[in-house]
Amino acid sequence: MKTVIKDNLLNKEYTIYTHSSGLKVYMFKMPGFSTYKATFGTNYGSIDNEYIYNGQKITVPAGIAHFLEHKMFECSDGDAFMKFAKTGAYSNAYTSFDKTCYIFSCSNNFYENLKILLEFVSEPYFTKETVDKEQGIIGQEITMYDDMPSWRVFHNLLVALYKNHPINIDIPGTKDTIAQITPELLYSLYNTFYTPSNMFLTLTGDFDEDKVIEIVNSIIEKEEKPKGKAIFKEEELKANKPRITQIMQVAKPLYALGFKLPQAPTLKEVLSMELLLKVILGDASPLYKRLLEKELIDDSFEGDMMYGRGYTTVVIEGSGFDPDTVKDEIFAEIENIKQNGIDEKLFLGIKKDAIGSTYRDFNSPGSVNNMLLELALKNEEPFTILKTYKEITTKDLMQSLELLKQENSALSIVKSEE
Amino acid sequence: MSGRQKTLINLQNLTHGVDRLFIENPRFTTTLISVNFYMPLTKRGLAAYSLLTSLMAASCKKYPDFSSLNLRQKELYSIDLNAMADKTGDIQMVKFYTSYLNDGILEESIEKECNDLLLELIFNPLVENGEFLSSEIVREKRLILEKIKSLYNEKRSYSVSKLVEKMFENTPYATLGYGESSDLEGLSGKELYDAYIYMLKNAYIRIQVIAKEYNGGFDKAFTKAIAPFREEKNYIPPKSKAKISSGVLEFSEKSQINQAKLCLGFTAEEVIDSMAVNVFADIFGGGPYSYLFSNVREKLSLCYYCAARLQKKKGLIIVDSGVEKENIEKAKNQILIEKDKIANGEISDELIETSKKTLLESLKSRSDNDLSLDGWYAARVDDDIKSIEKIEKEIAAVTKEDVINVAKKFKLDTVFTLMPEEN
Repeated sequence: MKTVIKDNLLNKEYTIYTHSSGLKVYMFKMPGFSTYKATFGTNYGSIDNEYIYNGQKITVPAGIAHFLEHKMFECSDGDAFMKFAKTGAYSNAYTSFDKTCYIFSCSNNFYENLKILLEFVSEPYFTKETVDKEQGIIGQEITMYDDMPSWRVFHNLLVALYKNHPINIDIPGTKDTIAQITPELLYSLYNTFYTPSNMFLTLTGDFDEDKVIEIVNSIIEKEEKPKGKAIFKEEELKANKPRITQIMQVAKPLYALGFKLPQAPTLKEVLSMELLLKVILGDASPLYKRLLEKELIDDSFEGDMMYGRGYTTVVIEGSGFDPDTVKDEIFAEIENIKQNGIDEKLFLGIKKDAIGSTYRDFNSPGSVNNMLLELALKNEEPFTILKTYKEITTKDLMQSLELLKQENSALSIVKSEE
Repeated sequence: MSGRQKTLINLQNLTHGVDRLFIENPRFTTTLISVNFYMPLTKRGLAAYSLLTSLMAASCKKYPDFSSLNLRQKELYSIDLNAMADKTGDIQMVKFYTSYLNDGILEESIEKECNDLLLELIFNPLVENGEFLSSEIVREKRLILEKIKSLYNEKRSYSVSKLVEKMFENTPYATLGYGESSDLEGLSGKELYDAYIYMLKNAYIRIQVIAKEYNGGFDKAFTKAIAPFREEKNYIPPKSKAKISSGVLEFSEKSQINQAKLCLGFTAEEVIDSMAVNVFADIFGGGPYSYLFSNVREKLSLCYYCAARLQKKKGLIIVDSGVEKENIEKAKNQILIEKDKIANGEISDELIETSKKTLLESLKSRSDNDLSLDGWYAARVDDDIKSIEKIEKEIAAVTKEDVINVAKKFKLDTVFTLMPEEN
């Protein structure tokens, strides 16, 4: 089944093809562009450690989604990286909290690369030898991340915020948890979550849609199969702990202030919060100016929002010698805006910035592909972004401001010993 | 494949030592204009221009407050407006640029104001009595000095910078792009102003315009503004030089880390202007098919990451790796073995073709990104201007013999290890 989504403002359109297996294929044609980008992903990430499948509740070791992603590149007939390399394509993969994605980009041999992508992700191949070897490699990756202050400050924030939700577990797991992984476990997880009805394919570039559909039909199995459903323990909005401090050898302390927000925000709520963060602490805001002149922040200071299954989090990160004062100033500014409202000129400027930025995103196969896949998982579509930004008012931002509560916040710091 | 557009390029001289390169790309909905100044690299110059560009990007006479300039950029629908300084080989590069949405995309026209803002940034800096303002200098100096200190936080890039510092000791290239902290601290508003005027008077200038179409409007305005500073003389940008090795130097440092960082610097002792160097670097330590990735990491599990970076203008290849302490010597020896394999001709034709295809693909994808295209051409100021298609032909013409000959030229010069402290 094909659905065409059009936008007259942008003068663009894309097609969603729903395969008989339930796989959704998002095809965004970009005529005249040299680059093609494809992402074949599954709605399964590091947080899906406990789930129901065929009526059974199953718990798996932390880090297994990331481990599985690494192993997928080894096929029975060779390495998938090498297959892409022979056509000249760039390939990669990543595991995040709520999804795992396999990517290629190229400017030639698009259909050949698409076949490689669909085939290697559809054909798992795990042996004891390859699993054992990967434990060594991922063990070294874990060590590398343990040494990265920027990663530690972010991960510790999630531990401080979330008591029960598995977002508080490091994506690659630990050396102990990955030591429990076996080929049988990997196959079992693959069959649970790598079923096409749980997956998505996003394509951008100057391709022929019918040819793409033909390839998808020839490789993806037709039958729709059941998929696993992750389960999460209840998580209250109150932060787990108010702060976590880790001592590491750093030149200057790093900090992250986070807020837990109610789950499953609408697109309008997400975009409103993004604009609000820029009003509160973006580089055109009075707070940013004040903190910079007091030498409390540097130009790495910024805030963002992330959301997925069971979590919605605002994260404000920066680097400076007095994180507690920065935290106090942020809360003071929140109160100030509650009392005095939002500066209209600042708000309008930030809105125009967001609109301009969205127009630019539609100029790049990479950005469009990212937009499609981020929104596909949330059943939203990218053309609504522009329309929504234009509709947002200061009233929406004031509503978002009410969600930034101190009791739902935590501070994470990484610094050297005194 | 339909719709593949050739890149059309047009280089025109505007006035003494000022050229303008227009790269037409009908796909883009944005216009990018960059003004690039090129001078010989000096240690003090790196600090001066690093601070100067920070100052000039933050404010100007029309917007003397950084918040107001930041807000104006947002009001212009997210225009990119910035300045930066860096080294490209032995050349000091200073860049001012803007990128904005074309007329016809928005309900209002912003082209003139965006072009004027770029000119404002370059020609009307916040200066009083022949000096940059000390309050602005205090702020920007702190930011850069803290950035330099913070490099230590990211051990991978810190290790590479330590290797370069030692390998090119007593030359300007050893210094970070930000400049040396002691030089930064000593810079005054007067000295910065002098550096600014020196740049306007003596740098070779190349303006780059990447857009769907270009009416030459910026050319006229820039030529008029730069006229008082230019005279008839030689503005040719300097050429970069490679290091002549005097034997292998190994050194190390300790840090509170779990995973060691091993960096090896190789010099060809000459600047090789051939795409065979790119193919060699890629086969050595580029893609997943490279010798370093597939052998040192995958087959032997000696490193988590092990990659080669090419600095072509310096005839330099840096291999950097993350390695367990007990594997340092083994990894170092294996990296050298892998390099020698290529020099001894142990490469398949298939691998050469794979690498060439990858490089071709990477090059083609640049034509879809205006910043990437701008950076590509700006870094090649001392090369002939070539279209992407011409460079593609040069890659396609590289032979196995070419790659072997290049591999033989590169010799190990410096090794740096960042070691975990004993517990």
